[in-house]
Formats: sequence, structure tokens, C-alpha cells
Amino acid sequence: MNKDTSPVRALASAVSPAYEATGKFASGRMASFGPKGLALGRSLRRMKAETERAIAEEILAARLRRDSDMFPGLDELMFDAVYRVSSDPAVTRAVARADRIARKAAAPEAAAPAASSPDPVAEEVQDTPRVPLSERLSGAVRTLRLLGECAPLLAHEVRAEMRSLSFRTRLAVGDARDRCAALLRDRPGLSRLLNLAAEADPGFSPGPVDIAPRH
Amino acid sequence: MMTADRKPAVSCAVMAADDGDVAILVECPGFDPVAPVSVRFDGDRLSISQAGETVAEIDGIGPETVSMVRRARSVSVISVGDPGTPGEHYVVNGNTTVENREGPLD
Repeated sequence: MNKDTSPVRALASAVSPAYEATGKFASGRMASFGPKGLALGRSLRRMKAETERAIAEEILAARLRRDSDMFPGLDELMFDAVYRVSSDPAVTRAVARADRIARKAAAPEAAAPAASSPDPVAEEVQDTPRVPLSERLSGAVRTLRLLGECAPLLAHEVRAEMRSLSFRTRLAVGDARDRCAALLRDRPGLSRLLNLAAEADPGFSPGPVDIAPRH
Repeated sequence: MMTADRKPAVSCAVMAADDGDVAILVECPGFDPVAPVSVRFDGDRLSISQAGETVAEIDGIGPETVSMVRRARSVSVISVGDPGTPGEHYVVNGNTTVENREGPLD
């Protein structure tokens, strides 16, 4: 039995009789004989690949239509903002500091450093004493605030743009969204960072941006 | 024997699925997708027949491929329209018998 349960392949089997009948052979071993043998096998494999690509494109387009309605075209902007925030060295240090604070709060006696031992994170932060944390976070705050302010204005244009994107670009957008979600999942300190940003700038608000990781 | 509108194929592709099924792709005009198909190996020659008529013959089949087909769980002959042209031109006939097969049938 063919145990492939890929949704793309299941859908391809449902919509294409040729794929249903021949798809499984296109995935396996092939031996060709005679001058046209290779072309015969390749034609079957090409048909399979083209069918799967068309189905994947439809699925992706449907996802983008749904997502752009739910989150008005914010995915690219959100990824860009999160990427810029997370790649800022000051933010990286702030996240590390937030993590350290959280660990100390959870187990103060275990995490408390000896009186003589330096705190590497604190030292790192102290390396730039002239720039307070609130200012070092200001870039991230500005980015997020700009994102929140601009998103509603851009929503219509972004939605229209996404519909006209090429397949390759839409794949890239989908990939960016997945990377964004992975980034958020891999960086639990980001929520603490946003709390720090809010402390540093009471006027800060991420606005309508949904920063929760999507599953 | 063959009729004028049925020319024997001289090329084929033998493709094996993961589940043990095998397909033989041939470019075979006039292939009947419903009529029973008989596959026979004579040395390195593969003969495909329908209603006692040879519709395709391919020489030079390797011994591993011969063995793979003769031991396959099931064999389907797939007639391909014109390789390389767009569209679906695959006519699958699963009503295939391997005359001199090896191993038990499932």
C-alpha cells in the first residue's frame, strides 16, 4: 500500500485521474529501454510534479486568501519587524537579561552569583553604560509602533499585492511566515522583551499586530 | 500478428512503486485500456499482447528488470500518448497478466 498521506498528494489523487492511477509509479525506481524509454518515464514524473505543484499552489493561494483576511496582510511586515528586532544586538542582550531576571525570580538562591563573580550579562550591558536600556530598545519600539500604525493603511494594498504575486514570491511569503512563527516559538524571551519595551516606553503598544506564535 | 494501425513499441519505461506494483509504460497507439493484456518475456525481449495480437515488443530488457516484473505484486501497462506533450495521455490497463511470472501472486 502507498502510505503517503501528504495532503498535496491526496488532493492531487482526488482531482487528477491520471495522477491517481500513475502517481505512485512516478515516485519509484525506473528502468528505461529503447530510444524513447527515458522520455516515457520522464513524462510520467513530469506529470506528477506538475500536478503536485499546481495543487500546492492552490493550497498556498487559499491559505494566503484566508490569512490575509484574518491578518490584513501583516505577515511580511511582521516578519520583517521581528527579524529586525531579534537581530538587534542590544535586543539580544536585553532578551538575555530578561531571561536571567526570570531565572533569578524562579530560583533566586540557585541563580544568585557569588559576590566576587562577575555577572557576564550585566558586564555585557555595562559595556555600553552611556546608552540606557530604554534607548537601546527604542529602535525595536519604533519598528513595532510603526508596524502597528502603518498596518491598517497598508492592509488594502498588501492584500491586492499578495493576490498578484508570482507563485515563487508567494512561496517566499509563506516561507517567511513559517520562519516568523518558528522564530517566535524559538524565542520565548521575545514576550519578555516586549514587556521591557513597554516599561521603557509607557506609550509603547504593539498595536494590532498579533505577535503570538501561530500553530 | 499485427494490424496496420498497431505498431509495436520499441521503447518502454518500467517503473516500480514502493508497494511492489510495477508499471510498464509504452507508447502504443490503439492500446485498449479495457481488454486483457498479456506480458511475456523471452530472454531480453518483452512482448505485450492484447487479444492474441502483439501490440508492443521491446528488446534489450535487463535481467534485473525482467525479474522485477516477473516477481511484481501486480503489473499495469500504461500507454502513453506522446511523451513530452502537455495534458493527460496516460491510459492505464491494470488487467495485465504476466505469462511467465515468478513467485506467487498476492
